[in-house]
Order: sequence, then structure tokens, then C-alpha cells
Amino acid sequence: MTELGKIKLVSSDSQEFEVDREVAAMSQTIKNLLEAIEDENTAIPIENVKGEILERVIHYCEHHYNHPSPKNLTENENEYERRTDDIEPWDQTFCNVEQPILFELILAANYLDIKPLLDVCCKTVANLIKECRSPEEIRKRFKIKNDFTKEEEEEIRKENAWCLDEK
Amino acid sequence: MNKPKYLYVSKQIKETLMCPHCKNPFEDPVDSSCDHTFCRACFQRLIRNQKPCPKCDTPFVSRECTDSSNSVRQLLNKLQVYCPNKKQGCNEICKRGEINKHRHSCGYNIVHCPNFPCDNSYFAKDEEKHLSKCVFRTIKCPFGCEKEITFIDTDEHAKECVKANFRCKYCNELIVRDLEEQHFETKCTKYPQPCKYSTNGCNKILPRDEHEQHLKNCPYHQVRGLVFFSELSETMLKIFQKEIDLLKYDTNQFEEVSSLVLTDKEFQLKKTSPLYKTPTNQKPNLSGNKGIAINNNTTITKTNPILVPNNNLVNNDQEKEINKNEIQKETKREIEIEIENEKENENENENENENENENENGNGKEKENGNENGNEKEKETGMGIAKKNNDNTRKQNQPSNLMSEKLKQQIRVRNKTRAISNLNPKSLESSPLLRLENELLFKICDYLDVQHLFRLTCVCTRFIKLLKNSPMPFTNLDFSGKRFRQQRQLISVFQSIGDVRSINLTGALRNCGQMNIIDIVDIILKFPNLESLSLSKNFCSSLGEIMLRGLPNNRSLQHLDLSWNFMRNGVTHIAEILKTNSLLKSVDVTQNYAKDEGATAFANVLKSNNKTLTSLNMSSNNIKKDGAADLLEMLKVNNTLKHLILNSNSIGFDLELEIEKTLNNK
Repeated sequence: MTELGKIKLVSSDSQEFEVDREVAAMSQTIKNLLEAIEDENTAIPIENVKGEILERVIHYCEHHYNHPSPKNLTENENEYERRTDDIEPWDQTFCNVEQPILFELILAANYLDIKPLLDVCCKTVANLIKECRSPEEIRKRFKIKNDFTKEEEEEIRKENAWCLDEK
Repeated sequence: MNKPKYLYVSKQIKETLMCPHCKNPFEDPVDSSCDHTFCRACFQRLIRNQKPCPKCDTPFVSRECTDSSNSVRQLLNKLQVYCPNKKQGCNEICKRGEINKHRHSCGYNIVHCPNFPCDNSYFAKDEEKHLSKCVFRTIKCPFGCEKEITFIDTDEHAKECVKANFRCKYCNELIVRDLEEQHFETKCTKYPQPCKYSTNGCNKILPRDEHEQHLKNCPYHQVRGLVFFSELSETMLKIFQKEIDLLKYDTNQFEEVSSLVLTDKEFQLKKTSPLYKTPTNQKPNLSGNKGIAINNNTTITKTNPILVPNNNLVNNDQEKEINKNEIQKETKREIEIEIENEKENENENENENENENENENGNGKEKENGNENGNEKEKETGMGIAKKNNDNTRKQNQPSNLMSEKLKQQIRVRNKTRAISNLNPKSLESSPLLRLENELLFKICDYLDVQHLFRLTCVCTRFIKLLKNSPMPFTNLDFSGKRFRQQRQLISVFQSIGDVRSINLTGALRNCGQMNIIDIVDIILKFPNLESLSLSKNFCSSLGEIMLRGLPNNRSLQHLDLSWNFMRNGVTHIAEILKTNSLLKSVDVTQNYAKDEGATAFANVLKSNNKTLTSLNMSSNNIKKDGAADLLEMLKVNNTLKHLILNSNSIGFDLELEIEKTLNNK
């Protein structure tokens, strides 16, 4: 039996988590599921997310349910502005994790349809890319294999010289 | 009642301080012979008109008067008054006696720019701001040649200044014009030079840094030891060349084989990493990896994009049991799959559909052997099955002899083209970043600024494709302040982008020639979802004509910023565009010397033709009363225009006020 107003989520590796209904509903996917399910006590299987990741996601949702950000008011200041330096300190710490976990968070946020979490993770990755000063550094940081031939690379570097010289 | 000289803060000033003639607080008060107090000017006016004293209604006995006592003057000087520039925005309040002191230093006094021929006027407080950006200010040559030049001529000067940096046309490095010769002679790595065997007959001319490479192939270099070099026969040379080619071919083959062995090793390493599988359905080329993982898994019930990575924890133990040979076999098989992939696609898709109905594992490979399907159901019974599945896998693979034969063949194919690995960049992907689907990868890229975005295109081919075929238009590409020395670069930048909603080219086209700007604007205006475009501060006087040419074909642009281009008459072309355009919502033509003609052109268009523009900025355009009057007329008829900004024009206060009033009434 789950407590009143709580639901049970089951991760892909069968770990169970009890979460406030409202908190879980921050995920659009779960919200839709909840509307479809009649029985309150059904455990909801989150088949695509590991327990370790699901725990983090729930942690994120709980924090932001309890501390709603006032940002929505100013969000539409300039619809073409894409900032990455406006991540809240709590979110910064939250996203300060190993790359594999960060990318799993992105996949989980995408699957569970939690837009603010997806945004903040994507911004974090964008910032990681911005910190790199050269294509080589990007390759090294994200373990990307160079699939250009020598000639291709030379050509493309020449073409993009404007974005390669400075920081 | 006369207009008071000062703007008093308090509306109720003591009766005793009010002049009975002008009904304002005294200014320079004097006492008359009948002992009543007036402003000095008022008293003189009364005497001049031979009027009686308004207080006691008797004619003044004497023209003489005495200054009022100091205490009255002190009281008057203590009255609080506003700065006379209050309407301009000065909020200073001070004692009447000190207002003159303030007036001299008030930041809202209007000042004219001292730089000829700039005809801007502005508040004194903004002087520094203006002077620092006034395009007609005098600056020292920024390149260090000691000459004094006008800012707007900097680019002109850069072309002739001996100290200016410019890009070497060969190696793209920044060099000082003074040292150009020296650079070509010694440093430039791309400077074309003839091969050092040119005297012997090699006619190759190559960039300096390619000489070393060339020497490896240069037939003359290979045989440099021969004494009778010059007499070496053609046939001999041909034989040598052939030999070299053969050797080169062998080396290549060897390299390819060894790289293949490497990738196999990498593949094994990757199997243990948690994010090993790429989560996607759409790309069946994955199925090589996916198949193996799912084979061993006993718990999955559905096919799903993010499902796959998670199986690894469960699988790891089982996987370790599998002996190494088998993994290698699977790897080979995967390579084979890579190549056969295209053909299999159709098959797989069909099979996958069937399988979803059965709620079975979405595994393309297994389904090829339809008769094995029965086994799949058995899988759900438990651990021991892992081995069985491996048996299955083995059955599906061709016998190992045949396999290696095939592998060899594939290696040969690989030698011919490198395209295979490019075809399926994900299948061997080690980077968690590249394992993301296009939509998610795009979402990340959309947060990057242009410099970092295009830096990504130098990282690997995936990003080049992503930029060209993005799942959505990019939100904003901001090139403001980026200078492009070679215009080819900027053109190719826009050619490599699929679509974008907003482009900011503030100042970025300043070194472009007119022809290049035409090309660039043409490309930009073809983006199907472009909503906002800024071409501000490019000092391109023909921008009006260019827009008139290109804009009518665009079906999406809503916001256009053409400020600081000194278009002069070109502004009328922009008005011309508005005649037929019903998409543009805001246009900014600040600082373009539009003058009255430009203002009138806009007024005419907005009066009759255009019913969509909501915001127009014509600040600093030298508009005088005539133009402003036309605009005012237009405002009375036009109902859509909500914002009209006419700062820093010589319109006159009254008209300005009336325009503001008309706008507010809307």
C-alpha cells in the first residue's frame, strides 16, 4: 500500500521509489500515465531509466517542486536569446556529475518529458563544449573520433579559420 | 499673468512672496516709494506704462525704488525649484539661489557634437558616450603608424597603413604589411614555391609546408643519388614511379588492416562501458550491437529508445562468461552487418513491425532467421539461456572459414573507400555525446554561440550533417562583432546551415565588398523560417537597393534592423518594400541620413499601403519639421503602428510632443 497522495515508481532494475503524486507529475510522461491509470496503488514501471538515474531525477523534481523558480516571469525577454550562463546554483551542482551520468540524465529527462531538467542538462553540455578552445579539445573531452581524411580536415579548418583562432 | 521664470516645486507659496503684478514669486525684488514690493522688471514695466500701484491703487510718486531687504531675498532664494531641463528628464530639485550653478553643469543641456561633419546633438551627460562611439571622432591609427584618422575611415586606412595587420592570402596568418616580403620569404608555410628539383625537370609548385610530403613522392628526389640524373630515361622514371605506387598501396593496406584490428579492441572495451548502446530505433544499423545485448537479456518486454543502455548492468556478468573468441566473432559479424545494412533495412523494418505486435525484442538480426523465433520465447525462462542464445548467434553466423573470407573481402572494400565507417558513425561510437539522437544533440548545439557551433563542424562529420539537416531551425546565430577577412568564409558559413530563425550580423559585414554583401543577403533571405535579421553598423550605403532586390522573395522576415548604415536615399527603398510586404513588424533605420525625404516616403507608405508594421525607429536621421509633420499626419490615419521613435532629430519640441500624444492615444 502506498501512502495517500503518493505513487510508486519502479526503475528498470526493479528499484522502487515512493514519490508525491504532484512531484511525479512534473514529468509529462508520468502525468499522462497517471491520468490513464485508475488504480491509485499501481506501481508505475519506468522501464527506460536505471534506479541510480531515477533517484537523481526524483531528487531534482522534489527540489524544484519545493523551490519553484520565479524565472518563468522573465523568460520571454527576448525570444531569440539563448543563454547558458543563467543556470541556478543548485542546478549547477546537480549537473556537476560524470559525463555518462549527465548524458543518461538527458535521455531520462527526454523520455520522462521534464523540460526544465532537459534544458538545464543541455545547457551544461553546451557549457562543456564552450570551455573547449579547439576541435581537438572537444574530441578529447567527449571521446569523439576524428572521421575526416587529412585533406578534408585541412579544407574544413581553412573554411572555419574564423572560429578557430581565438578563444 | 506672466510665465514664471522658474519651475517651483511647491504650488502654494506664501502670498507675501508673490509679486502683485506678475503673480509669481519675486525676482530681484524692489520696494516702491509707497512701500510695496515688486519684481524689478514688473516695477519698471508699471512705471513705463504709467500704471498706478496695483496694491494701493495710487500713482507712483517717484520712479525711484530701493532693493528689498536681504531677509526677503534670502526667503526667495530658499524656495525649491526644478531644473529647467525637467522636461528633458533632469530630476534635480534645488534652492532657487543655486539653480544657476546647477544649470551650467546640468547633464540634460543639449550639446552638439564637435566632430565635423557629425550633426548629432545629445544631452551633455551623454557626451562621453557619444564621443566614444561617434564615427567621425579622430583616433590614433589603431595599428600604430602614428597617423591621426577619422574613425569611419579606419577600414580605408587599414588598406594602406604600413603597420596594419592583414591575413596572408596563402596561410591566413595575421601579418604586418611592412613585413609582408619577409613573411613570404621565410615564414609563410603556404607560400607557393617550385620544387627544389625544378631545375632537373620537376614542374611542381607547392606550398612550402607540403614540400617535405612532396619529396617523398617526387621521382627526382628518389633518384637524387644518381650521377647521371638529368640523363635518366623516361622509362626508368616510369618504372620507379610504379614501384613507389605499389609500395604505397601495400602500406595503405597494412594500415587499414591494423586500424581494423584496433577498432575490434576498442569494441571490446566499449562493451563494458555503461552507455554502450546508442538509444535509437530509427537507425537499424545499430542492430549489430543491440542484438547481442538483447539476446542475453531476460527481462525486457518492449522495444524502446532508451531501454537498451540499461540492460548492461544485468548483462555484464553474463557477458563476461562468453568467451573472447565469440565476442570477436560477433564483432566481425558486426562489420559485415555494417556493409550489408542497406540491403537489410527493408527486411528488418518488416520484421520489427511483426515483432512489436508480439511484444518481443526488437532485434533485426534474429528475425532474419525466422525459424529461430521460437527460441526467443524460451529465453524468458532464465539464466542458462545466455549460452543458448550464444549458440543461436553462432548458428546465424556463417561458418568461421567463410566468415574470415568475407572479412577479407570487406577489408578490401574498406581500402577502396573510407565511406563505410562514415555510413554508420554510431555503430562504433565511443562518445556518449554522439550517441544522442539528432534532436537532443541539436538542442545542445542550439545553446552554443556561433563560434563554438562552427568549431564543432571541425570535430567530425556528424556535426556538419546536423547543421545542414537540423531537425528544427536554429534559434539564433549571432555574428555581431565577428570580422570576416575572407568573404568566402561567411558565404560558406551560411551555406552550411539548414535553417535559422534569427541572424545578427551587426558589424560583421564591414570588410565585405558590395558584391559579397549581395550574395550573403541573398543566401540569408532564402532561409524559410528566418524571422529576425540585423545588418546594423555595417556602413553599407547600398543596403537599401540590396534589400529591395532580395526581400520581396522572402516569406518569413518580421524584424529588420538596418541601423547605422548611412544608406541616405536607400531608406526610401526600404519604404518601397513596405508597399507590398505584409510580414514585417518592426524596422529600424536609425542613423541613416534619411532626412525629410526618407521620413516622407515612410509616411506615405504607412498612410495608404502598409497595414502590418507596428514599430519603426528613425532616430538620428536628420529629420526636420517637414518630415515629422508628414509622419504626424500618417499617425492620425494609421492604426497599426504602435511605436515610432524619432530621437535625436531636429523636429522641435512641439511636434515631438504631439507625435508622442498621438501615439499614446492609440
